[in-house]
Amino acid sequence: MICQKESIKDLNDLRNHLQFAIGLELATIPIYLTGLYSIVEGQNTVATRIIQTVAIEEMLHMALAANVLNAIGGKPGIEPICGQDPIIRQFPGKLFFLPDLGNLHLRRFSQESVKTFIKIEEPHSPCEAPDQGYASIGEFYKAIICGIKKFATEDVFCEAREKRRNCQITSTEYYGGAGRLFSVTDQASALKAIDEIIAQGEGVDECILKDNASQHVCASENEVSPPLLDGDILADGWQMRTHYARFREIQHSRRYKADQQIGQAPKGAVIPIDWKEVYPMADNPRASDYEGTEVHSAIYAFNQTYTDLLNNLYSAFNGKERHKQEIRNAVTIMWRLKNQAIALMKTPSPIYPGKTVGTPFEYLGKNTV
Amino acid sequence: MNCSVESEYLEYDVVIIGGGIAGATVAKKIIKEAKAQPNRKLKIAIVEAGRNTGMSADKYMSHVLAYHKKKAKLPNSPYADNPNAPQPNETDAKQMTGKAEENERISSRSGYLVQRGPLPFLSSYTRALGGTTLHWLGTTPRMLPSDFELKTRYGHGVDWPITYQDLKKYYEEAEHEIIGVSANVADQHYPGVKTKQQREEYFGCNYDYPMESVPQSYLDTYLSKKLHKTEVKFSDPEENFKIKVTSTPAARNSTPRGSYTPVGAVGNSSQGQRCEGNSSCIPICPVQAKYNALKTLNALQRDYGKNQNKNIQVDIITQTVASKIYSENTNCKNKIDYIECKQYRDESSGAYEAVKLKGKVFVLAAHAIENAKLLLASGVANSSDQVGRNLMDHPIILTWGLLKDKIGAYRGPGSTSGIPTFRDGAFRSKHAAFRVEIGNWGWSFPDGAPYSTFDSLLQQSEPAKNSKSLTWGSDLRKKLNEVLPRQFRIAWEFEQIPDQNNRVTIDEKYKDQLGNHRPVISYNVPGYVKAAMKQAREVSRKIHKDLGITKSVYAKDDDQKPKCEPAFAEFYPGTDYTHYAKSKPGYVIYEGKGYAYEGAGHVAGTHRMGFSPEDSVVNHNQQSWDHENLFMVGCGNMPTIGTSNPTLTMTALALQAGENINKYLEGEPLLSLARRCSSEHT
Repeated sequence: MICQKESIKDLNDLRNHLQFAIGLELATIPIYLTGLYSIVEGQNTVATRIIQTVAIEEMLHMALAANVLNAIGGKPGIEPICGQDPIIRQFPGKLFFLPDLGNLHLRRFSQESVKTFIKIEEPHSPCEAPDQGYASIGEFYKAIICGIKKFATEDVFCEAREKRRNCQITSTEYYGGAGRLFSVTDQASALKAIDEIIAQGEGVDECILKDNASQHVCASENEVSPPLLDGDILADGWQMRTHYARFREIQHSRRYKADQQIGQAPKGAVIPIDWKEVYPMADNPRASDYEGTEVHSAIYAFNQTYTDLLNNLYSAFNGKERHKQEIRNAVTIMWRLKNQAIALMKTPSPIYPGKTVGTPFEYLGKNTV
Repeated sequence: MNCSVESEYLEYDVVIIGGGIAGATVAKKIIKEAKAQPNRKLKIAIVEAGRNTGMSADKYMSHVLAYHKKKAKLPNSPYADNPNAPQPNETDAKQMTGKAEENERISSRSGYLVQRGPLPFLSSYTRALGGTTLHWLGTTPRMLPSDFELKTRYGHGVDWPITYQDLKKYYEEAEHEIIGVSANVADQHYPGVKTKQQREEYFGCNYDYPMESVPQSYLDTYLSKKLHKTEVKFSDPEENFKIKVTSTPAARNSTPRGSYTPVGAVGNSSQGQRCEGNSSCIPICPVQAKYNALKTLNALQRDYGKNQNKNIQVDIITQTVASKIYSENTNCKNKIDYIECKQYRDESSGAYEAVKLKGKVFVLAAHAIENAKLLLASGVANSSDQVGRNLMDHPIILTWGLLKDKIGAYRGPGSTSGIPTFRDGAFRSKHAAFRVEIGNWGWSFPDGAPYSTFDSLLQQSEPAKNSKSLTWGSDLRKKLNEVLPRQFRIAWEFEQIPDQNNRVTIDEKYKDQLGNHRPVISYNVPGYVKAAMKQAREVSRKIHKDLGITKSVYAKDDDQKPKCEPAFAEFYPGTDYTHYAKSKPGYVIYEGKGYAYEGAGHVAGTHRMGFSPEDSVVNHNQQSWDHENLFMVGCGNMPTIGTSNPTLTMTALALQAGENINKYLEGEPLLSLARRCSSEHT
């Protein structure tokens, strides 16, 4: 059985992988935000905090992946690569490179949606390679690590430092979750960035930290249990769990104790969860479903905001002149998105009785007004 | 066999009364100093009268939800009243009559403060763990060097026994290590801090705040543009001023400089690392991007809580009201022996257990009014007869109007800029200096908008129901969108000077549920401030004119009725809506014109620092003149209040006190500052 980590063929392929990495991180955000905003304000506070920190850390991952891509001379973009979309334009949708995750849905906070969250963050590497793509997000990133070591030489970084010097999103622009954003300038910082992404998602795997990644063996072969903690310690002393562990905590309505194994059921403090304190949004809403209804304009406006946000982010990743201001403007758009999302969560659906409209997250394209 | 008898006392090295910013700062500073010596043992108690209702993410959220549910969004709305630790509210205040007894009788029936007049004291504070920082706006300018020498320079008030330079390093420490202040040194422009040399003296050569300035509001930039040529002339003495809209240092998190890490919410430190513009700083920042003392207290509990078994221990004891201080005379030294507290479990009754706290050092950090009350009730530290006297606030007058352009009111923090131009000048020999605060929340302070605006637009349509001018539905929304974004107000905050007759006293007649005294307040606003109100109103007219506000709704500010009835409800852009109703509790007349002051919550002066045991309660080390092991902290120590919001200065003073307390515990001499001679005492 062969792990897929050496599947990246050349520098260009590495850049393509990183394009998809940015899109992959982005794809998880609507899924988590839909769960988050569907919770009635002020209710399920611990679950709210968990989902919120994960969503914000996905934003960190997105920025880190963009920093790596910029550092090796790539240009973060939304345009299809070899006929494949690096982003999900509409839900439900599949992720290229990760077909095994299946269709990803926008669903309200529920036991079912939390199962999906867990599946997305699942660290398990089955070593049975799927016919195409990678078995898990972790495997995908491990391949990127190999690719960086092999193809991202000092010359590559050196050349990009000149050409893409205004494109790095810096540490001061990240907050709200654990972990750290930093500029990527060389192979070491690029590897550190990818490690940060893997560690927060599914934990620090001893294997990937070994110098020679080609000697890496799959977790299932040496029976190393994936870790519970991701290595981040908050200012107040809290040791962050991996995304996978955090979602398992919600699933079991209990915290893990810091010395527990991830395979065990969490045995720490009870997390009170009231699954009823959730707005009953219909799954996977789409603007087209609501054409001709009175809520269509509100749904369309939400999609427009989401589109503005993505266009703004990708433009910030490409280092326009007022680069820092651009990423800060994105924060303003995120607030607009949140306010519109909460309004849609409360808006009764004119086509699904007893349900509310919810958040569609449809990307409308680059030059929409 | 040892037979241990449970001690009558809880024993500590340091007993701090008050779990707000001053008490938390003193504790943190003593520990910082003590940690310099290895294996030093130290046990500190922080005793809070109110409840611990906010010290976890969920508990804090319960305050946020309480705020959402309250109809009136007053400073204490999220923080429940507690009959065992009652707190004043703005709505308690009544207009005073000419008779002290009558005023007493009226005010004692509603609210907490008993007021004798002749004018009402209009400020509130919060009695819960975290104190008034739970609801403060978070404005943190430093005082000016001239503020420390009011008597010498302008012949009013008193001088401080310390200078700005003495306090400078503590200001820096307060900005970096306690509060976390956002501002850019390069943007700060104050009178007397202009030349390169003055700026270097004031800020130091390489100093900057820990976080970048919170972005100025659209209104701020609009005013900067419109007012950049505006000049104001004072006549007595003649002085010209240029208006300079300046970003205000703030205790809210922003982009960090260097290695500084913004401190997030208690129990959820990834939240609140930046100000999100939730626009409810007063009464509550929902994400705790704004500093509150719970952050410092929570860190103390985390690092030195009982279960840590460390050499240094901090116990935070809540629902425990200090009621009497006992002193003893031993070895010719008059020291504080213990403090008796009333500990309650449940605030629905006045049942309590008496708890006695012994310490090597005692610190009163319970608020200017509460500290004075406790000293008076105990008959200690008052050989000067200054305890409770010199009560000060920043009386505020508001001016408001409707701008010609939409300036995006109701967005962002309550205030992001001010006009520091009038914080100092030769005029201080004649009238008070004032800080000009530009408000981002439309007419919320003067008028209760946006709710009141909604109401008047709706009412406006009532009598006209049968006519064509109905304002309902989308028309009403459109109309609101024409009015609310144009609302604009300025708060003019005046430096009140110390007055022996403005004072806190106690009276056996007035006690709370636990049998502790209620503060009895005598208060007046001096002509020195009223003259400044007149001057400020003139400045406001000049500013309004340059902003295109040329008409006014009232012929005189205190007229009962608008010039013509519909004008008020119609909301004309370019109109001054300033109105000081004669029924307002803070209504005063000066030179035939009416004004209405409000309280700023900046309560100071009641146990002031001074040059001698005759003129003051504490010395320049914040130590009681009468009891060497009693230290006082809080705004009560301030001899004068200047024009800066006092929390930052209080924090700097508390840091200095903490350093002194550690020296005292170590048997070292206290700080000897470059004490200068006051003109009063030479």
